[in-house]
Amino acid sequence: MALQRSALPTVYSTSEEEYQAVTTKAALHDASYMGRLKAIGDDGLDLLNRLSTNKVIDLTAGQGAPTILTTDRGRILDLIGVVNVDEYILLITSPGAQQQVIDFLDKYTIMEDLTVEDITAESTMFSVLGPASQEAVESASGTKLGDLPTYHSVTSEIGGREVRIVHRPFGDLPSYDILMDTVAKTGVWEYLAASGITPVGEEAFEAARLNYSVPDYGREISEAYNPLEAGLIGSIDFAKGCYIGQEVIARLDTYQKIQKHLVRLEFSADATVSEGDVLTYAGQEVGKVTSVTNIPTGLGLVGMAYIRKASASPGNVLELAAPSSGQAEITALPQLFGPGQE
Amino acid sequence: MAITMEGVELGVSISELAATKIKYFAAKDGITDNVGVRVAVKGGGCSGLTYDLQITDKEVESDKIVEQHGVKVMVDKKSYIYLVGTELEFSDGLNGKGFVFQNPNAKKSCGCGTSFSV
Repeated sequence: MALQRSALPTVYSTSEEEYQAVTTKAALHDASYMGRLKAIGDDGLDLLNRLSTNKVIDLTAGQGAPTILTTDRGRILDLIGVVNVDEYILLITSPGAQQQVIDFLDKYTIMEDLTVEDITAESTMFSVLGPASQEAVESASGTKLGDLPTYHSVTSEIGGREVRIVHRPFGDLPSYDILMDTVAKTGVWEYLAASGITPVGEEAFEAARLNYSVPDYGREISEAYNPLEAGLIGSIDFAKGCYIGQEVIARLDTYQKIQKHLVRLEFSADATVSEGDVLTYAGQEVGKVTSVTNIPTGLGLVGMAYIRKASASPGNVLELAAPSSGQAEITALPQLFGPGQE
Repeated sequence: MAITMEGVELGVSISELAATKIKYFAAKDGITDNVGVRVAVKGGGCSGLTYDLQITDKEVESDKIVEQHGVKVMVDKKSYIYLVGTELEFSDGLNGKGFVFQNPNAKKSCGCGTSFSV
């Protein structure tokens, strides 16, 4: 089990084979490095509703939703998954963000009945990603998942071990998280791998992340950005009332005042590029590369950047500033949870 | 500045109009004896903290309770520090806001007045 993403194997077989599995079949990824918190108490959903962007107060057992914990200036503290598992509320946080989230919730717990524990080390999480992920998990667990909405969960068994399956998509790519006690991890992993789900290492996973424009904590998700810039509008409920940063976010949306937007980039074949490289458009600096990697199977370099809104249109071709070189075409303004409510 | 009544420091004081309104709403809920209002602060909301107001006849042992204008004002123990010196008023009329907290500890509040920060 990898409690750090950097500890994942770079490859299990070859990056090409693993990337093919993620994008055309089903792949198995050890996502244990994601944070997992247990929120216990009657007031957890009520408090989370007042501290984050999405409406979570009505989530009943089995239901879940993505939401963003925001600062009073409307900036992103973390994007979390809130899953009501009946006995408690499971919070899936970004890797390494657990203590920050616990401290944030603790700061605003006054009269509320709520305690939050970090259960990352005593639990394990695998992700099954790919177009055939639903079928693969159904086959392994014997549980039908067709009607399971995103961020909702069910309990099941895989290889005789108790698991919880959470429908947590990977951008536009179907994906299911399998959660279990750490004692079950080896058995479940071996069962899933033996059933034909291809283990995917860090290299192919990062390529898939950028191909499907899934923002990463520390690079595309941080306090430097607000949820609208990061394309996370689909996890904001504009009608639910007061939460920290609500007035700022509502105002930015109403008056269309965001200054920059996250974009997906495809680089020219001759490009030399690293994270942090400056991008220009019509001779003006318009942003910096936040992530870049080579896509196995010969598709070239793909990445993400925050680009000034006026220049952030699909089809625009940006230039990499010296000492790097080459061009980057904006292919999309990704929205991880869709365009949101109209 | 602490608001005191007969030498006793009050966490939250209420205006006579607010007390009248509390009794009115309590009666609508069938509460005519031991009329009380429980005030507290919850975390979150657009400025960081949110006022909570409940009309009730049930006393919680740990609350600070002082009777004013015929109403028991109950202040939640954990919220007390955020509410010392606050006056609960009632803003009437067509443009009235209803129950309003005048809190000397609040540095700012949101547009609707239900959330504040200290």
